[in-house]
Amino acid sequence: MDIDLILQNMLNPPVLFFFLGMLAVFFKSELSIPQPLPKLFSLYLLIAIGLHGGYELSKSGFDWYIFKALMLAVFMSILVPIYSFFILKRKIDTYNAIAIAATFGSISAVTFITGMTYLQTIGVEYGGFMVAAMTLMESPAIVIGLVFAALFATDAKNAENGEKTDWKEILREAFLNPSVFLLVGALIIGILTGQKGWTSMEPLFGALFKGFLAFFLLDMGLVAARKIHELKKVGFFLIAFAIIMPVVNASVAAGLGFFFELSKGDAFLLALLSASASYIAVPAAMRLSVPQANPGIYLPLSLAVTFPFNISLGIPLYYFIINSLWG
Amino acid sequence: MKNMKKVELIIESVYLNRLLKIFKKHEISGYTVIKDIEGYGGHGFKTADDVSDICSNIYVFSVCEANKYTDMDKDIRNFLDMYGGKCILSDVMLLLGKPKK
Repeated sequence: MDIDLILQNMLNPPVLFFFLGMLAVFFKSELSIPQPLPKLFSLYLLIAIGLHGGYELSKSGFDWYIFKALMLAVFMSILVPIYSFFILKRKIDTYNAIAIAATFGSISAVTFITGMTYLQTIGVEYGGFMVAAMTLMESPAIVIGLVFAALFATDAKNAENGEKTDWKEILREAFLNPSVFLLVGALIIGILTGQKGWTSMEPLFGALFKGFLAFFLLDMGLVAARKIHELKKVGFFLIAFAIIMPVVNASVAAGLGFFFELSKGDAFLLALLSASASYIAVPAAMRLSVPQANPGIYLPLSLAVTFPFNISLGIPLYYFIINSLWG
Repeated sequence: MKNMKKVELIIESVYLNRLLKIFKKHEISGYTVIKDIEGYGGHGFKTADDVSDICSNIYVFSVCEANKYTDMDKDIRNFLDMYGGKCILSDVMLLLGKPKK
């Protein structure tokens, strides 16, 4: 792999801010971002990519190519948790296998955004509709997790306590969680308002985008570094899983993207989405549906291993795989 | 003055709705919720500035008549058994405005 690809990604200011956040924790600096702000940054990023994706979609329209890419995205988000579960189940208990499989089956919006800024840096084009692909990939893993929980996790404790699975509550979490709701809403607003709407919003949601991403990644660096000590309890197998599995998922997605003739940029984003793991929507849904699974395992794996790996080495590695295939 | 029970719970924030369902079932008409609390316990130091609210804790307290708590006791124990957390109970006196002459 070309060292330039890694450097181009690592020398991106938002990515460097992520590592600055991690260093702050390692060097015991008192650096912190006041609590409500990271939530505001997260909302800002979701609105920005939703609006921009909607605007791009309003320009390009909806055709067979877009339909194909969206279907591939849904297919990957169903496939990844299924094979992940059966790999994990050979080594760990069913509850944790379900939660980790679902976590890795879903996506991380910030990883996607970092990948988008990488493509912009190296001047590779991609379709705005990939934001819709990202939105579609959030929830299927939660549903797969629920199905696995119903099939494989018969829980004596639940029965004793007379607790029944509240499907309504969990499905609401899967499809109407704040990230999905805001993304879909912003995407629709972007489609409805088109060029005029985007021009009026661009000063806030376009020009300032990288700055807000840097702020958010600084906070993510602080949070990820604080979770690193929890990895001691996780064990070698799962840490290796959290690094190898994203590469496998990205390779499968890249192969499918190549077979179905996606463009280089779109296939890269599909591969990156397939490689990323959720740390907000799915862990919340798993905490509700599989409380026996330990969040001290699936959350640090996603936040402190897969996320830093993806935004540092994963992005150039997946681009290298795509580049080798497309030539 | 009225003799009452004070029920204080520290639970994971994702389970708040499930706890409130128990309160509703037993007609607990008032409660206070404090979000984003920090502290040290069996799971180490829990901060309030997590990127998501999954691991953050929440503090819920209510003051109710003792017999209402007795009815609710089994459900609260089941809740703690299932989802973890701590419940602190204490006998308190509730001051109801100025005493009548």
